[in-house]
Amino acid sequence: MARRLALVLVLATAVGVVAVVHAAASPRDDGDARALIAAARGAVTRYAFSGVVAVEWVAAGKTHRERVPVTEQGGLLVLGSSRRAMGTDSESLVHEANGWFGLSTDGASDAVPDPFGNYDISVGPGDAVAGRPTTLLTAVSRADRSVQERLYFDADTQILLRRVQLDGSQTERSVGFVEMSQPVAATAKPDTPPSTAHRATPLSPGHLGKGWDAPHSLGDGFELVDVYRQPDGSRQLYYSDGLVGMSVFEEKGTLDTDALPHGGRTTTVAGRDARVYETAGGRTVVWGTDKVVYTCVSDASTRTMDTLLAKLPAQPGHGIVARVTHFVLGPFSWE
Amino acid sequence: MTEPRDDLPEELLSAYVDGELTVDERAAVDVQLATSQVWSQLLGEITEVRAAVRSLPVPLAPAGFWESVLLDDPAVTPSRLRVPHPLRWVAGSAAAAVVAVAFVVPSHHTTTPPVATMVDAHASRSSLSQDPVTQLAPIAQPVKLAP
Repeated sequence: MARRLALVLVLATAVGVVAVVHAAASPRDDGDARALIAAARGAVTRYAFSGVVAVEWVAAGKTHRERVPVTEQGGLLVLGSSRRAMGTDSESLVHEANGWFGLSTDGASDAVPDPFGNYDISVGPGDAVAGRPTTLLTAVSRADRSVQERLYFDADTQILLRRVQLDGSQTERSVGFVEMSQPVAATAKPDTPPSTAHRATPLSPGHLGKGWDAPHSLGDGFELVDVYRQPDGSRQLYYSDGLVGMSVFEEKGTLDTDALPHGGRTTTVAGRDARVYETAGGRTVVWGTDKVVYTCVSDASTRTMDTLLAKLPAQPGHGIVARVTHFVLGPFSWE
Repeated sequence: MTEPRDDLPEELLSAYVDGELTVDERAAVDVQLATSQVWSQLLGEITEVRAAVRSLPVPLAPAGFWESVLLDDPAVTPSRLRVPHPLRWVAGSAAAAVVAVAFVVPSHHTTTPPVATMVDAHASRSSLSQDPVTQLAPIAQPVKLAP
């Protein structure tokens, strides 16, 4: 009896030790992380500051770098000098060749999925960024246990100072302050943003119209958040897993590959022939079916993006109708 | 004096009869005819056939034949050659369908996505759900499309 009791005590102690060690090794600071993420989204509008942001991304094995000035002007966040981007609480503006392009969430749901459903997120002290102490948020994929993102938040203001995205052990993209003034509480009421030459219009995902594909989910936690009609008539479907976004642009027609801009490479992505571009803003994949041209833009990792693209249409239909149509109309180039 | 040639083709005799040879070719054939009994015999046969063909009578078309061909006169056209009414409708419908397909079936227009603009639009949308600095800074410079 005494030996049995001793055995039970040993086992209980072992289980307790394992639990404590596990808790210490993978802290679940959901409350802290949620509060940090929520606070960071509005922090840049609560403070006035200026600085320089370094953007680094990898393309074809080569690391590219750019530096972008960031200032606060009349309550508006202004980025860049040769070409400018602005952000307010509910609207984003980018100055393009033909005027300001605007996109706002007015009328859209803006209900992004909960990142804690797709990542194990932990919070701890981080390295200094631009000379400022930080709180580090680490997001680990629940699917393959790999670190996907490291987010460095200013310890005092919760402003996101640096974002590092990884694919495996490799850094794919990073954006972070290298210089920053001392943030002060914003007092200026935001000026009226510049009038836009063209805007993206929010649409109801349930009323896209015939011929548009809008799957509600692409897997890996990516859910359809909202849909926009672009000025050229194309549709922008915005997906998110709560931490990373992906836009799927759909245009009716067949892809004119010869007219695509130079700089990309033709390759096979998720079983389809596609043109791929790597930019500071993310990876862009272009392909077409017999009716729709798809362009996906995302800063998700290459592996994640390939998984998501597999859920989207790829090849022309191979049913009896498609085959008969191809047989009859193919010789006349009506397809 | 031109010598007879073994490589001279016999087909030249036909052109010789029609007067279509050059001076040199005609001289060569003359030499060949003067020295070759075979060529002389061939020339005689060709001349006979030509004369026989030209002497054949030319048959005349029956009265009203050309009018029936040109005008498709029902009175002249034999009734057994006319298309029955139901088949005429089928043939007409088929022709109309071909014309309709040619004009009604839409031709898929080709399109080229404005890649740089779409990169901007994605960053703009992302900046509304996530941190605006890290989302907009990458597009604050002109988009560079790299492989």
